[in-house]
Amino acid sequence: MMPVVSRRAALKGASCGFGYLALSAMAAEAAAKELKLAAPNPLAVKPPMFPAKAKRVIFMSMRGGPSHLDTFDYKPALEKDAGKSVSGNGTPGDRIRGNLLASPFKFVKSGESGLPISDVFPHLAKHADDLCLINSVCTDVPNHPQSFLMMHTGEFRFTRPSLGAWVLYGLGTENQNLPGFVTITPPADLGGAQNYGNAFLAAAYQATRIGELGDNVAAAKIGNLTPATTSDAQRRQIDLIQAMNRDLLDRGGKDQAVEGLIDSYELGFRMQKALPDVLDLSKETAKTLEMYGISGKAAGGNGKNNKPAQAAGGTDNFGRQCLMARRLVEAGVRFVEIAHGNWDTHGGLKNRVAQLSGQIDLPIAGLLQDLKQRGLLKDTLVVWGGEFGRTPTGQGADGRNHNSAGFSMWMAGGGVKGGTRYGETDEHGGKAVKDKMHHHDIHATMLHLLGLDHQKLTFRYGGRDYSLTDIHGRVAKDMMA
Amino acid sequence: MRRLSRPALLLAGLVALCAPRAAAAEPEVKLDAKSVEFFESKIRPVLVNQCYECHSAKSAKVKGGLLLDTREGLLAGGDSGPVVVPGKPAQSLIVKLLKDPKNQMPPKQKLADNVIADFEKWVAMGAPDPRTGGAGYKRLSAEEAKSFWSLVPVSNPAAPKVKDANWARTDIDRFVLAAMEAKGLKPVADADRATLVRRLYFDLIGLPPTPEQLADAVADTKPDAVERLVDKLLASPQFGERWGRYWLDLARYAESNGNADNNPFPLAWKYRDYVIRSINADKPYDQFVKEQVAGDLLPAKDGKHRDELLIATGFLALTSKPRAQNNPDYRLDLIADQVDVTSRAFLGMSLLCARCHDHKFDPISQKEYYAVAGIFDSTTMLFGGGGGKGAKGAGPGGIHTLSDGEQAMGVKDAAKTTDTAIAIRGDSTKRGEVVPRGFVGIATLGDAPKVNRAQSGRLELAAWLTDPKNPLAARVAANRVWQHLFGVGLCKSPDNFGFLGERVTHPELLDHLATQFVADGWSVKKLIKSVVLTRSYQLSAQLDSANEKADPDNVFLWRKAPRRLDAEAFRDAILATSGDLRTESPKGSLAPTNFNPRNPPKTTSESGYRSVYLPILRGAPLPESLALFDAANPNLVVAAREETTVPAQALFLLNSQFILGQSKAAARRLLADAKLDDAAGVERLYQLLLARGATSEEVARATAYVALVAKETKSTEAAWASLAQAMYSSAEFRYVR
Repeated sequence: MMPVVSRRAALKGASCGFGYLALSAMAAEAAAKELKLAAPNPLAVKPPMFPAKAKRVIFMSMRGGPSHLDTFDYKPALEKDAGKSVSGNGTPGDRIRGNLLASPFKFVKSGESGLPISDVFPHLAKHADDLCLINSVCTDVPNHPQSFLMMHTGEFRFTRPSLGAWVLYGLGTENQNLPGFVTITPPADLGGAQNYGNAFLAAAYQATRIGELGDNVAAAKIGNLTPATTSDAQRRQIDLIQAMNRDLLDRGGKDQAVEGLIDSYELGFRMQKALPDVLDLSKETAKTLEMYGISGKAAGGNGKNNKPAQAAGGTDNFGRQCLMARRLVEAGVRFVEIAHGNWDTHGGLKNRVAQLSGQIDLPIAGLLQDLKQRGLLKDTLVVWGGEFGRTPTGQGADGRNHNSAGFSMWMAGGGVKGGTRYGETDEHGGKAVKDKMHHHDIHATMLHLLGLDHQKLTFRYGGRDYSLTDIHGRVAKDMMA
Repeated sequence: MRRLSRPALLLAGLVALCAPRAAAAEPEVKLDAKSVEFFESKIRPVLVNQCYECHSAKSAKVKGGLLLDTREGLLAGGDSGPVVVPGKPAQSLIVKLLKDPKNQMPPKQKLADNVIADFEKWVAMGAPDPRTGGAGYKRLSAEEAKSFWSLVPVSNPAAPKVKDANWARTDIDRFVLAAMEAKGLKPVADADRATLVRRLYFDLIGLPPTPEQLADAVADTKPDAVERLVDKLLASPQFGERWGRYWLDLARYAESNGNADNNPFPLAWKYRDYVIRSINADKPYDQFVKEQVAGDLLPAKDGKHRDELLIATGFLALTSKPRAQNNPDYRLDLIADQVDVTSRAFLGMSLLCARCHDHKFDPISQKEYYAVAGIFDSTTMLFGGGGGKGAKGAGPGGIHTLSDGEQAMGVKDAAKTTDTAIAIRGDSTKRGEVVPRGFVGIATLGDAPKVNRAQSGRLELAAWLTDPKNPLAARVAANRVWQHLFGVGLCKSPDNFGFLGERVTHPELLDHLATQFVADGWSVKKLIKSVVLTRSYQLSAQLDSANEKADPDNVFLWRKAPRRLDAEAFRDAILATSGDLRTESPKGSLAPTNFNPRNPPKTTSESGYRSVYLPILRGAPLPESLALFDAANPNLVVAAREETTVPAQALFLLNSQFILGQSKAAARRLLADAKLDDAAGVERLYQLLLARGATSEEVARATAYVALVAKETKSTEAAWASLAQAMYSSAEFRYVR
């Protein structure tokens, strides 16, 4: 069970730089204490299980299944054998059928390490020496909803806590005025909220969502964040609510739902002060905005239908997500997920991969650059990847089908060995064959980088200890610096 | 959040997926580097290249029920029994079949002798297999299905003997108590009358009792007081608004198409009103089902009845259509939705998995899927797109015309009926065998009814779906009723009664309910009444440490677990207590009916009507009061809602215009009563919102709070509004105990 840590103790461990926010939280805490309302805080900072480099995560979730063969998995044989007919790779449900399709893009040796990166990522390629390309990722099913859920919760058959929820459960969060887990424009489909939910973990561990995929991030809001009254008056009102809630607990006995409700008011109260501040990008310099590809002109989308301004490779939307992510992790948020897509390139591969990559290339490069110059990259784990990759065979003349047997992700920062390729697919990129990284292995490795043993990070539920990786998971130590 | 029962999953044979770490199936033999190397180099490649085509979880068709892609599958064997006896090659079927000239495996080409020798050696070594996990699972065979709990005929079990015979009030209680006694559990005390009254009001009509209704019900000390209250609530028009919404969750009810071309469904509300009317009339459930599947084919008494039957078929037309452009599967996509909603709503099982291949878990073949698909392939949907324009890709338009010249969405038989060819791997461009229209064989019904070749077959489908011999129909419906009264069903996966679903916790009780339900003419009201009059339903929510230790999730119903009000009941209770509720139903829809299909407008909770009437547009955020409190996603067939507690809900209660407005209305209502002093005002608020009186401490705390806020804001109304808002925000208001 969770150790009982007072909010005061938690605040002591909070990151600096939020002086007035921490202060108001402390004032609130004092008020709560007078009314004997203080409750154990499930979000209090907990030390990692062993010393670790990574303290926080930025997970870039590429919805739809980006083509690894056109981005990060260079396969010379695919070009050489283009047009040859192949069938299957022996993995369940594979869709590798027909003629091999060469990538329409060139791979460029990048950085001192010479990592081959597709020319659709010219800006990101400059950070090649920070990237660990994982070319051997696989999941069980080449279908979006299942694989998306597996990538996020380890499991698609049952509702399980999400990766971010597990991390928050394991480490707590450093700023009690902000949610510990934020997801910016997640897809509403493919399992929706389950992908950032808490399942059987305490409700405090689920993500706070900002908008949903397709939204104009500049306009995406968290509803009802403007306080209806003065802070003192609202605090007093919440104290009354909480007193009633505690009465109910006293009368009715332990009740997780009521405890969750109590937590939700505390978090909500603090959030309405702290979150708008952190998400306010106007505090950034023009130079920083430019670095992330945020253009003043495009800031309001295309002006119609509240659509994001990214139609023709515009970087504004994802740039904002990246900059928000930096501001959030800098402020002490433990886990930030930012989504992008749709990478489901069954057709129009050439144009769409170029366009989608164009939308994120400069923002990611800007983010890595910014994290580095602020000294944050060394302990921030940045992860990029989709729910699966795509087939080496063409689907039509200009498309690729789903492929979960072998695809690519990359990690940077947070104790990852940069400038490396980890794992391999077969010669045409259809199937992971060397140092396979099943999604359970990805999760085990991410947790390890955060100082959490995936086998020991368990939660007793219904008479059984559950973990994110179930009975699986291998930590890829070779990826680590 | 929904909970899964662990034992049930283990029973399902999903040991590999669910076993706790400590108890993970250990291999029979020690896996050392040498044995692993042998497996990896000699055995695994052969399995992958020669066997997986037919024997992996992802095979297009798993042959012989045998999966060789995991250790567990290998050890479990297939329809012919175990294939490996570790250490004993001569007794191992796999070795025999590799050599057998008649039934040789793999069938295409005998393996090389040295490869067969490797297999013999490997089995002799104890069949070391380092594989862990993977997607291995075993499909329920046709033979196993015959004894699978949800597919066996519904029985009529006698009520069990119980030790504490005085406790039980009805047979339902005896089933519940017997299960408790078997686990050494004891029911807690009964709920007090006021608690029970509030519970009944919310569970039956989704609204709180007024202080007067509460006082009357508590003062009624006659033995049949509760029964008369139940009858009154069941007869109230608000009953259909509460229970109709449950049905609308299953019907993926929405007022626009969603997807890429989000056209309004300006006539969908007629189906909504039909559902509410039918439930209020206690239309026999089998009739209700038949009307929705085949109303257009049923005989009608007169024009008005005919209209009703046509509107009912709106159930099938509410589908969310994908774009037809560049989508060769469009037709099959539409059909898939019909098959899915029909099978999940009425059979508690989805046939959809068999669209592309035989069902991986349940004994439903792809062929059977296409037999049912043909029925919908022979059906024309009448969507009645908005603005009179068929949207691009929205498929055939058309509309039912009613007797009064009005129109309705729905379906009719196609001009030309057809049988449908199997789409190989779900690909419409690759067609296989044409399958005559018919039904699936999972339900043990004896001879399936023959489809009238001149019609679509929906009429026979409707009869089959509601045949008392259909083992799923009444079980699924009775389970839903239980779920809506207890929070979880006796089977916790109300739309998956299949192999991967949960196992029923009280099988005999569910059969008893199902049998009674059919015997009572499929009357939902009678079934509800029989459940709420039990002692089991009327228990208090009190905790008990001994029970809690043995059964922490209250699977055996030793107490009545508190339930959170769902989104609709929560909002309706706020409106009802503020005095802003409009109890009549609106004429037509509250949704805008003319908008850009790419950009549906945002809709709000600002209306005095009950929440069931709020606009439901797909692809647009739902009204906040619904969206934030886990209302059903209108794109999906929703049999059980999620239950989340998040700061966004707290912020809605603290800051939203809706709550601020309602709190003000509640304050004004209170202050309009000149007779009330502060203490009486607090008492009145407690009665209104929480259906109980305030304690002296609560009165003192609340009056002090009001005085303080009044002094600061110089507004009595603001002070009382602030108190009302706090009470709306309290757990006690949001939960029904």
